Parts: sequence; C-alpha cells; structure tokens
Amino acid sequence: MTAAATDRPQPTDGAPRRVTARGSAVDPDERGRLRIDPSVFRKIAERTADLSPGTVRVSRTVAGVGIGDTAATAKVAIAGQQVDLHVELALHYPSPVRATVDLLRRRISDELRRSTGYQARSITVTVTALLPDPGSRLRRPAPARRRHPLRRHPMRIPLRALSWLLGGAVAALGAVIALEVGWTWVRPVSGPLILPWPAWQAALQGWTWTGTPVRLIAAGLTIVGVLLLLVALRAGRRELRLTNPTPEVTVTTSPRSLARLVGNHVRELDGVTNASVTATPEKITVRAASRQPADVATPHITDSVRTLLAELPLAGAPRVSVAVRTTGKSA
Amino acid sequence: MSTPLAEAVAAAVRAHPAVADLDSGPFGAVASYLPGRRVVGVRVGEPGEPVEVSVVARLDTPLPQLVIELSRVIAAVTGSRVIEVTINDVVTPTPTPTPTPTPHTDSSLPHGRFLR
Repeated sequence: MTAAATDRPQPTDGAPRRVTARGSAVDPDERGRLRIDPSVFRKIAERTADLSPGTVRVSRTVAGVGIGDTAATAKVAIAGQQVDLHVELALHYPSPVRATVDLLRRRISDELRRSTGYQARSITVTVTALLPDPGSRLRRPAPARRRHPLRRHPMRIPLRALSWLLGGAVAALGAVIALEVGWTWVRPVSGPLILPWPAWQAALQGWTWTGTPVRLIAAGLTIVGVLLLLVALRAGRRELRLTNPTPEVTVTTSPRSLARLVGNHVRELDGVTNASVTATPEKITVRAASRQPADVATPHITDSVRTLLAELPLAGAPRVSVAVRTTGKSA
Repeated sequence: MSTPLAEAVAAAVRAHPAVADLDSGPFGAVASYLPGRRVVGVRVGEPGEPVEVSVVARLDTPLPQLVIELSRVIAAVTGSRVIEVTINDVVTPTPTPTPTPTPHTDSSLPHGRFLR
C-alpha cells in the first residue's frame, strides 16, 4: 500500500505503545482494532443466501395487496469471535432441499470467515416456502381460465370481511364518542347528541359490586378471557418439521407453503378444474372441482398427493383428505 | 493540533478503494467537531487515546485485511497511535445481485408436472 513505509512505528514516539488506553495488549504491526456492526453479519448472510442456487424471492402481500419482493432474512447473535445465525428463506421446488440448505450453510460460513474472520458457530435455517421455479412459467402456456385471487382462497373472504367489520365498528364508536365529547363541550346544557349517555350514567350509578348485572358481566368477561387465552395458546407458528440434513440445520416450512405446493400439484392433474387446499402439520384437506366423477377423481387425487408428500423430506407424513365436486362441463 | 488531523485521517481513509463512505455510527458518536463543521466517522482524541474511524466498507475486501490496511494508512497520518476501526455497514460490490434461476427443472422431468 501507499503507507508501506510506516509499517514500523514512528521513531519519534520512542518505544511502540504496547498497551492501549483500555489496557489490552496490541501488536505493534497490526494496531488496528476491528469492531463490526451486527448488521454487517446480517447483510453478508442475506446476500450470500440470495446468491446461493435454489433460493428464491417471495412476493409478500398485506391484506391482498402486494408490497414487493423479499429475499432471505437473517438474524444474528454475536458471542466473542463467533456468530449464531438464523436464516429464513424460500426455496425452489422441486429442488433437493437438503443439499440446497447444506450448500447454503457452507457458503454463509465460508463467506463470513472470508470477509469478517468470524466463525459461524451455528446456522439454523427456516424454509418459509417451497415455490415452483418462476422460470417455468414462461415455458408453459398460460392457463386459459382466469382465477380470481380471492376465489383460490375461499377461507379468506370471511376473515377479510370480519376484519373490515371490526375495524369499522371501532372507528364508528370512536367517532361517536368524539362527537359526544365535542357536543358536550360546546353546548353543555342541551343534552346528548346521539347516545343517551346521561341515562346510562344514572343506571350505572345505581349498581353495586354485589349487583346481579355486575356479577354476570364479570362472569362473561372471565369466560371470554379464558377463551381468548386458549385461542392464543393454540395459535402461533405451526411449523412443519422437515428432516434435518445435519444437527446444526433446522429445516421447517409453513403449512401454508405446503398447501400452496399441494394446490399447484393438484391443479395440474388431468380433469381438475380448480382446487383449494388447507394444510396443518397433521392433515391436508383438498377440495377439488373435477370434470371426472367423484369416485374416479378422489382416489386419483389422493394417491397423487400422497406421492408428492412422500417425495418431500417431511418428518411426519400428514393425513390426506380429498373432497371432489364434479363440474357440469365434460372434458 | 488535532484539528487538521481529523480531516487528514478522513481523507486518507476515504482514499482507500474498499471504503465506500465514512459514517458516524448508530448514535453519531464517531465524529470530530471542528470550528464550524463536523468530520463524520473520525474521532481523534487526546494524544494518549485511540483514533477511532467508522466506515461503510465494500464487501470485496475481507474486513480484517481492510483494517490492517487502514491502520497503516492512518498511522502514516497520525503517527503511532492506537487505531480502532468500526465497520458500521457494508455495501455490496454489485448494486442488485439477482439470483440466477437454476435450470434444474429440465433434468427432473417427473417434477415438471408440479410447476405452473
């Protein structure tokens, strides 16, 4: 480098300073001390994962609206000169998940050692989706029928309507309360605007802790609270375990991506005009519309889905349940 | 004395090809205050204290190697002082690394049926 002449300490300073202000010994030839921000490890891991073969970007949606693509995401914990990493990413399918993750892990470990000198102590991987190769879409003719995005996921319509209704109700309640407060401020003597709240106030003042309505409301709230608690305990990420290539690698995927995979597979079968799939770690439910009679199509689809599942590195095979509706149109 | 030093260090660090920028760190802590201006990413304290620099690096050079080279560059400016380099962020050499789709589908024809 340009500063090769200054490899040695300047003679003006006398003996090279061996102890820093913080007391740690320093090699006079390499006096630079290195501190690396955790985001640097994260970026290196994410970039390496994105460049690794077999990984794919996923399009994200919020309430049905696309918010762009996301690539791999990494979380980092640093302990001394070692790094613990957790990487979440989507993989192409079909691809050898085990080999792809193994290669990815090696690449991240190598890249971290090369560019930072840190050792990757553990790398856990979560495969959040197994997606068909986007390039294959170009090679296949586009499907003649257009499927409305909502129609492919019939469960989402009530959920979406419910969230709109709840949000609207809360907003309306807030607006009414603001109106009443403003009205009472402006004209304190002319009574309530919409809600008969002075009457409610009078009624509430008559209640005591031992009154029947108070007890009933308390019991009802307790029941609702326990129910919500149970629902919350049952919820969370129900991940599907895939078989782990090595002890350091955890491969999981979401039920949703399995459902997507099965759905894509079923829709490609002969005679199937439409299909919707829900998946849990225990059970996969397929609702298909087929041009064939149900007694022919049901075993056909069931066998096909079972074959597909057998090819996946799933730790435990979920049960398969198929319901077929025959459409009027004949092939 | 330390007033021109901070700017000299900043210029020397910026001249390194693997340094994309100087950066003052998450809380703006690494900076030198000169009359009327502020040198971001360099802190030169009292003669006994280490010289701190905080940089945004390009990822093509290994960071330990970069620190050794930066230490030499800075030592040429400051003399024999202890140097602390913080890699505050990195930029990738290529602006948008697009993963190349692997053409593995052609070799696995039975799986091709899963694609749409």
